[in-house]
Amino acid sequence: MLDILHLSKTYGSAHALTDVSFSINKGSFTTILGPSGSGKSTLLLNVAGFVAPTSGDIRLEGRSLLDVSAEKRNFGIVFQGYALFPHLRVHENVAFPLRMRGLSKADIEKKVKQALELVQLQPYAERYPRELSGGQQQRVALARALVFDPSLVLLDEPLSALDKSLRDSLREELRHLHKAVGMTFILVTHDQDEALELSDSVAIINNGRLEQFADPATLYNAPASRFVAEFLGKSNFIPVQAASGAPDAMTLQAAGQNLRHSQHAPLPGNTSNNRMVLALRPERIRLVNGHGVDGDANVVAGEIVDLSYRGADIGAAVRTDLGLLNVRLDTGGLHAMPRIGERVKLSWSASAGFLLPDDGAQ
Amino acid sequence: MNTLLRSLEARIILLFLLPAFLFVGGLFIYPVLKVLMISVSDPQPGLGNYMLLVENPALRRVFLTTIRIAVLTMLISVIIGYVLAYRMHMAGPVELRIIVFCLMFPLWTSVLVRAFSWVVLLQNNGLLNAWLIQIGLLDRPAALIRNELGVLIGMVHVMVPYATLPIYSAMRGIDPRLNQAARSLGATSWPAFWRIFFPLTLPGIGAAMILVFIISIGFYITPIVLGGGKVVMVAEYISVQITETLRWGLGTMLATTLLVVVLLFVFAFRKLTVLRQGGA
Repeated sequence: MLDILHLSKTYGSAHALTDVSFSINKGSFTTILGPSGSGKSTLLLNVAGFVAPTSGDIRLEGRSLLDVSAEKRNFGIVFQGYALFPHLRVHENVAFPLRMRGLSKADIEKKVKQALELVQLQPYAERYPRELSGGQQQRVALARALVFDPSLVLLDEPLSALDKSLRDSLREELRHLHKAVGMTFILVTHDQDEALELSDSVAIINNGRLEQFADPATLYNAPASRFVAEFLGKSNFIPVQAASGAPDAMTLQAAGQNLRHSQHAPLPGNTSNNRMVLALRPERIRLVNGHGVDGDANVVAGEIVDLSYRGADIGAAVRTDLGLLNVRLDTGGLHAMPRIGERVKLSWSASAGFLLPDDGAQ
Repeated sequence: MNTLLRSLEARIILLFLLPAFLFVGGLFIYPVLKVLMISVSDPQPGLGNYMLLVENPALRRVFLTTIRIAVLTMLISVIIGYVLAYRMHMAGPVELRIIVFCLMFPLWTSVLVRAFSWVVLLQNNGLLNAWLIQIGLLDRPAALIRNELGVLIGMVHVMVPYATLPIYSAMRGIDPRLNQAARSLGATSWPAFWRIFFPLTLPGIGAAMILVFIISIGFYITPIVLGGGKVVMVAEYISVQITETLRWGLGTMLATTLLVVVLLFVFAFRKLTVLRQGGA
């Protein structure tokens, strides 16, 4: 178990990290997700031991790591750009951490062979890193980070340098690898899809602060802030002027209309004073034609102003009194192709949306 | 585009290249060939001049002295240069600027002035000897000039910047994450330096060695001033043959031999550094 406790890091007057706390379970796959410059790399450097925090603590199995130097932490790190040793062959790169630990020649040979088999690179053992493709280099970096049975594996944007199809297949491989070795993986990335697909839990960092730490489904369906709702997937944001009623049967006022809303997760603090928005995922909004609307559903009329055909679904932008709403329409459930200029009715159930404080994130 | 136009274009390109060809051909290749010609034709045609290198012990000594001094200068300069370059690599911006200034400033000073400055410092009643005697480390002045030691001191002083800069440039080209990677894999500072950083600076060391050797082997003023006539290097010897004894065949033979030694050295070294880098 890795505990990050009230971690802060300042460079002069710049706050790279502010009071970040969360705990990572042993054997889990955790992603630190954030836009570039959010502080996620600083967090990784702190965990790796290359940077000392200004305040706070990092504990592994209850023991503080702050007085343990980077070379003694026993963490396997896959660096952005891989940082393979260019003058060493693939097997020498993988053997490096074992040689530093003074293992016998026979043991090193055996472990290197196993690690290269794990990433399917045995045929390339005698090559130099520059003679390998990007994907192969990435696998060498993985083998090198795993070969010495580290207590933690840190991956710093390991897939960002690769093209999309290769990225997808390596993502798959990374997930299998995590299952196969059973080590704790911490991935740092700015790619939301990567985070949702790979992780058991995700820590979303923005402006050096932890926005939310949760499993992917909770993040997607119950974002804690407008930033999270916006960063993870697409959302419509409807400004809400006032809210009244119990949490499971609220009435929201938006642009002169009353909207039904129910929410199980905690509401944003002090809802009467703060400005709020209703976050609504495009796939939660349906196109209706008068009938077939549930009793507690909201119905809003509008006009289609833009359409984008994507095969399995169609993205429609609909101008309504509540503003422009993006709707995802499943092509399978459509009677006829929508047209630009068509008058339509949109509907969503009371529990589809999420009331969030309007922190003005874009 | 048709063939006529294409050949016309090729001719125009050649025309634009002509000044460069004339410059290199007329001012470099022709004189070098001429030197080669004189070395096998004066005073009489044949390889007589080259035989002197084997037959004449004095000539052989001049040649060996030159190569010995050049090699020693190269080794000492590269070692000092490596330490300096490493310090520059680790330095903050202010310290770096100070080191670069101290390194480059002597380059703007004439070699002649610097050689005579060393005489002032190193001669028998010079500053260094006087001080060493004063603190009681010596009871009579040590011979620091008019010997190979003096020549070496003067030449190393001139060559250190030439050794430092290629090594520093190689160090700057090393991805700083490699050091982090080495540490994360369990390497403490010494193995991280010795197994990762140092091998990656070898091309810079190779370049520095070639550069320093090539310049050192042709040194002229510094050995004359600091060698005090006792240490004669090839360049001085050639100058005497051309301007004083007028044995042009001998002088040009030495010049040609020097050129061949340099070419062999460069060739051997390139091969060596390429091999070390794993057949890049």
